Amino acid sequence: MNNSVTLALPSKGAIAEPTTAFLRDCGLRVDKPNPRQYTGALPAVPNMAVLFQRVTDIVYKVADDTAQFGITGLDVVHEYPHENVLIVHDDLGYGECRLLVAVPEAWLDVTSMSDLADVALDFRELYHRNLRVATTFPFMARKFMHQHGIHHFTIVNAEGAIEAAPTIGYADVIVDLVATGTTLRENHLKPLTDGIILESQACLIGSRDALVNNADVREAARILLEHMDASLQGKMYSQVTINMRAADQLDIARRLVSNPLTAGLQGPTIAPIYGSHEGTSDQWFTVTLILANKALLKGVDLLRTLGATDVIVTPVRYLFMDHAPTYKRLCDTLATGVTALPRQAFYR
Amino acid sequence: MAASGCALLGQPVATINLGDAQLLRAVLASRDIDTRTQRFVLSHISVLKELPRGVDYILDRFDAQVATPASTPALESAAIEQEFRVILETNERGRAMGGRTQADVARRLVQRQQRAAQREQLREVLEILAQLAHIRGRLPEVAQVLTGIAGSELWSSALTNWADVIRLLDVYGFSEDKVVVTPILARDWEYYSGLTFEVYTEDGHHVAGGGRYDEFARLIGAPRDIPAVGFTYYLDALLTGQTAQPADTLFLDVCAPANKEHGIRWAQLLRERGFLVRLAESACDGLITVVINPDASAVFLDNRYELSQCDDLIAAITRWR
Repeated sequence: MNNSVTLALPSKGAIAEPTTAFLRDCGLRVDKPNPRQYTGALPAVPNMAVLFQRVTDIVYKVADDTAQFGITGLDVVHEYPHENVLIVHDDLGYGECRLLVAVPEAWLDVTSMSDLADVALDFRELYHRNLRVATTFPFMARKFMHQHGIHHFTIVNAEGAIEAAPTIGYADVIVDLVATGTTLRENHLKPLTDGIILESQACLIGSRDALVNNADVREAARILLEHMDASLQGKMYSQVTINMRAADQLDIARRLVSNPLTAGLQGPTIAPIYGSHEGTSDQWFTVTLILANKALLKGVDLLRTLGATDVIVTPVRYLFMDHAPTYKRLCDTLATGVTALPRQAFYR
Repeated sequence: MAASGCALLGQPVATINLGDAQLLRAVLASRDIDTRTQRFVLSHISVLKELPRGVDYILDRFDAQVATPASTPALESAAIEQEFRVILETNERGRAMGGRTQADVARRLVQRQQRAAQREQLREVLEILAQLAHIRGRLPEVAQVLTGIAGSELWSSALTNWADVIRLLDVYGFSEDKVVVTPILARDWEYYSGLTFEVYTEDGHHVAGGGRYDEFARLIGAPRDIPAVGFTYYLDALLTGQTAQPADTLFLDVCAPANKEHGIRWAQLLRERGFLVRLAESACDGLITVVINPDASAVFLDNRYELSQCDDLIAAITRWR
């Protein structure tokens, strides 16, 4: 590849398809010539090549600078920490799951990590062996167990179908990723109340060395983050168009701005509807507002009480603020030389 | 040894904190607290220092741990139904049980009820430990404070142990004013069974810690307790500002049957000069052995050396080697 910047994306697994969909929504369409090819392109970012890898390999590729950026799960980034791997965006809004400790449902006496610590001692005293923990996340599992006073345990490294381990008998408990909990229930396992190790989702990672030393890489980061931030912000808002009758624009503005639910991002845009005031002292106006989705219905109800009619709501595809907040944070991080990976920050 | 190693690496030792896990266990045993609850307290002991209401916090955690479905007042009928369903289905083929049996689960549920009955004794013990948690200072001051706390007969052996260790540390070159006695010295691991210690350097780094843990071997599968001591160096902290280079090493036995203090002095001198020294009180079978006389002189290959002639002894060892 002759391109100067490479973005590694998941080739398979739970976040592979959602990642290309997410990038498409951000205006960053991925061109992949055919499904079996491991390279592609991202036309929206000049000179950017795409490399399709397994989620764990993405971390390695960014760590050794083969790829300057990667999208993978926070879980694997924390499991394989590397000083050159910088979490550039930790809230891409998809691929959400939890890394947690689960025990057999039949262990009626175990609901918390302190119960599990007690049971681990039972294993030592009764069976003269350690509690066995099946997981593909030995680093985080080990650390979490020690944090909760469980020192007598053995990690059983496993690949796939971990939920079956306590039934098959090669482990007593598991540490695994859980999205909905259905698989856990079907395998007669239950999560512990304080057993959540990590709240994970998809994240964008970058090579610290490349970001510090290569202006092309920083510019690529800016373009990626401008698109991502604008798209993610846009998803939080709707454009609302209404018609209102009033004596003048100022009267409408006063009514709307007085309540945060109807004030909009900066304030309303008000335009007169010509020919609508014949025979009356009042006139019709069209008002455009940007409202937060989380309070959209409340806002619409309030607009109705203020005299709004014909409420039209349109999704906001992109919302570019005066700057991309994540890119600014990245620049601050690079300038201050903060440690690459705030490993503790995500542990509960 | 832990503190000497720091000094040899160019990290002058400022403070050695001394504690005693046996003291904690004696307080716990004085109120007939069972061993499992003792472990629970030991694993939460640091809370007594960190939180102003540490006793309440630990009791809350204890309540959460011993709470059983039967003791939960507002258990919904759906939850009860679920419990019964699980119990009935446990006999089904392929049901996940990990490595436990139904009897294990039932026994532990009963034990939790029994442990819950110890709550009042636990509170009394925690109140005593909370007082101890805020005591730290030179040994005479600590001894004076301890005598004013109920149950003082519990800590006479700890006071004796600390006095012995402080005397030996002085021989190693760490004067009494560097030693801070901290009865509740919370180490992360609950298996300590005797003296515990932590080493801090002049720039405030916590560089080493350890103690005695006779029960550790049993915890990892041995049929009985085995006397054991050990310590950890925290390498990140230890290597911060480290300047000294490791010397050329030579294994050496110093055999001091008559006087341990003399043996320590010789061992220290030799270690400072790069030797790896094993100190023993009886005859050794090492390749190179230096025997220490009751008058503090050392004998090597029938030649006698005073402490001031350490370099001559080393020259003789090097020639012989």
